[in-house]
Amino acid sequence: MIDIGYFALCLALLASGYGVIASAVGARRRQLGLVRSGENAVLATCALLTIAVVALWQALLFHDFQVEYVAENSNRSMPLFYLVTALWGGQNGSLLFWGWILSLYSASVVALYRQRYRELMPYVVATLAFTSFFFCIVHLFAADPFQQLSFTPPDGRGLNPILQHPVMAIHPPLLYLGMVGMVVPFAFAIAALLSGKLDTTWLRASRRWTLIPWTFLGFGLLLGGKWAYVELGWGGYWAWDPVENSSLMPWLVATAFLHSIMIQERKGMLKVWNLALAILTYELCIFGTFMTRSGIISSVHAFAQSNIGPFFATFLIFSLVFSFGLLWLRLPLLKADNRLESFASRETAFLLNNWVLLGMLFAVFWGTVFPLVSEAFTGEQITVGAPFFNQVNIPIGLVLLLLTGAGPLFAWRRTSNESLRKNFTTPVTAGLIFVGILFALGLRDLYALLSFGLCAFVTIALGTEFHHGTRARMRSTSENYPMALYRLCAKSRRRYGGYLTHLALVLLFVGFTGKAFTQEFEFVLEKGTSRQVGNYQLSFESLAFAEASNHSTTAAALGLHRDGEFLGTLLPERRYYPAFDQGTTEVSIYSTLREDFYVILVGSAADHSAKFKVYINPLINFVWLGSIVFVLGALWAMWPTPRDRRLARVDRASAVGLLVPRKRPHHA
Amino acid sequence: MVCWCRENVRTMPSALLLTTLLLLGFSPAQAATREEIKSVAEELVCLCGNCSRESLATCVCTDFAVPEREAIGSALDQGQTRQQVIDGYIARFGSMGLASPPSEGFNLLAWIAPGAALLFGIALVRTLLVNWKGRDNDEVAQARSARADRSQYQDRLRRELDQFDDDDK
Repeated sequence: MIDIGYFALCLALLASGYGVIASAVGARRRQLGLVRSGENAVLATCALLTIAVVALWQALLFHDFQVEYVAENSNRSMPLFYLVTALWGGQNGSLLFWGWILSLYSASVVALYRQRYRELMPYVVATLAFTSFFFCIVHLFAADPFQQLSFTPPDGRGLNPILQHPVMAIHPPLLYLGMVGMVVPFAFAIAALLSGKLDTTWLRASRRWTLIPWTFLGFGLLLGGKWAYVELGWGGYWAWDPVENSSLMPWLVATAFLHSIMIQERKGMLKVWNLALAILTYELCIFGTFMTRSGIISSVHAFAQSNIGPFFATFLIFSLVFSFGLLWLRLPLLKADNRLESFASRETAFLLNNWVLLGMLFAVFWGTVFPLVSEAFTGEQITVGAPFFNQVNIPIGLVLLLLTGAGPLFAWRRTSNESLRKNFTTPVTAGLIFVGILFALGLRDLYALLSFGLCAFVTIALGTEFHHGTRARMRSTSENYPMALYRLCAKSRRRYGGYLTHLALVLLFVGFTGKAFTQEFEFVLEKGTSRQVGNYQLSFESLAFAEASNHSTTAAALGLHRDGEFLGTLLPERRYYPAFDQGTTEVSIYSTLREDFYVILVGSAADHSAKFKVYINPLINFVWLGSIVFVLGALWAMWPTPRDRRLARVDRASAVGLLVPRKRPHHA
Repeated sequence: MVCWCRENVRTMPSALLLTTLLLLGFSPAQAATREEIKSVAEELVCLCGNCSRESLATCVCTDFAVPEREAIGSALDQGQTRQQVIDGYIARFGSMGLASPPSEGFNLLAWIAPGAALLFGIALVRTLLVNWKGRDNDEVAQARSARADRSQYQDRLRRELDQFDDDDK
């Protein structure tokens, strides 16, 4: 089966290479047969990579330890569930997984658009196939998942213990689905540039193909935060680690893209910018993969150092030069179709949104690569850690939060002074009153005041949007309030789904701001004693030791009370995995919407005393709540509407002419 | 993100192994408050070698971060200033022990660049907006006609559909 997998990879390399050539030549010569053949090559690549993935899964499930990857990343004692997830637990397997997801995206695009976007599709297919081709080269020549050992070890090393967590089964696939998916809008951008069909067609095709990976990526990031919070035992969820940053960066640009395409759709402006954003998003995904896997920046996520760095660096440089070169050549065709009517308009708000998001991108990028820059110039190793990122990004984030609420209050084209006053009065007043109340209650942290004030402002601003729309609908129909609200949101899915993700951002910011009020305790308790921790009483009841097959555990049982009321028993653990010479902390959390009581067992002594670290994290659950609202909003916005179906019919009808092989004048 | 420090415990039974780890520095009556220790430790990163330089304030590795935090506490108790404690840490472990680049010399660039980029960006946005506002109708018409021949039929249909069922206001 391993040989079949390897052979499938070799064939996939050929198929994707053929796909590039067939599509490119077919597009140039307007030969439908070749174009179709290129599309079939993409489908074939997908089938072949599926075989390779199944082969690796088979080797993992049946403990074929002669395969190096299986020996390194699994062992006989691992439950089935983690054997399945071990596919993406190590370097080579996860790259194969990447390539496979890429081929699934590519095949979906091909299958869905057999009769749509015909002028673009050959170039789209060529771009997708070229990316697949590159990944096949990596699989075969730099990170072979089927590499065999010269002997068969009796057992494997197993999966890294910190990855043995249910969230780890979903978090990496979600991030991959997000990062890889950005190849589709990129392919459409390149296709628009190559074909010269630079109207909004490529944008129409790209919007949903951006929303899907954008949602995956955003949710993957938040889920990664959740995993870090419950598994890594440091009381937080986001550390500005280079790998976290490398998935955040494409998400920021994709967010900017999703906003700025609206300007082009409506006004025919920002054409160059949108193409550049689509390209940049994709390049940042490749850059992130390169950074994570080449080991150039130290990170907890970094895979073992390997020789794939040069491959990715070459590909990155080539695709950057090619894409931006192409964009530069097409500049004369990309003039704006309209003029700006007023500075007080939605257009301006979107431009500012792009400015803030790209500013944040630069800050994150700069902080991530600065250690390299500094070392190159001064020879001194420095660290750019969380304090830097927080200091730089918190003010930018607050401006973003402001725009989240202010943007929707501006109308397209122009907003009269009167309606500006009308739209802003209530939300601004609400924000100010809220700040006043918090100040009166004794809150003095400037950022926290600003953040909560803005959260109130945005909530009221968006709430008013929903409310006014619903009331207007109630006046024109006989629907009651809930029905009118539902119909309103269902009729303009993009708009209200978008607002829902804005509300998710508010929830996230409430959670982020809670961080300013985190209380931290570190203390030793004797068994049988108790102590006051914040508003809680913590009693140390017992300490137990256990040996499992692959780790030893020390666990403490703690009773948690508040005002004499028993809240529950907390069981923080500390584990040690000899195979990895690695300790892990299993934290125990008592969670309410108001705050989390988070206990880490730091260590214990023979006299049955133990050291604990406790965090009281207020409002943290708003972050997880925000994640759920984010996904719901995004799903709402991307759900197909009757209008989409009508457009698809129009496209298919008008594409018939293009499907007949004939010579057409070529647009330069 | 977290410190997976080596616990020197491999060969010992687990009950014993943890015994040795902790009792050093279990001195509960420190004069320096935990907030003071935390605020100093937040400026520094853990250099145990097993975590990816996690904040010294949050790392729970028992062979580096925990004793270092206690050392910070006792240094503060002895009357050292914040800066002296931080400098002492850097003197022992090198400049990579600082959690953020020092704002001096070349490293000042780390702090200036994001602000400069934002200023540049807003200037660009302003220029663009002013340009767009100042465009006259001729330019607009020119730009439109440049692509007029392309997919007219589809564009018109799409516009009509848009009017028929406007999705976004």
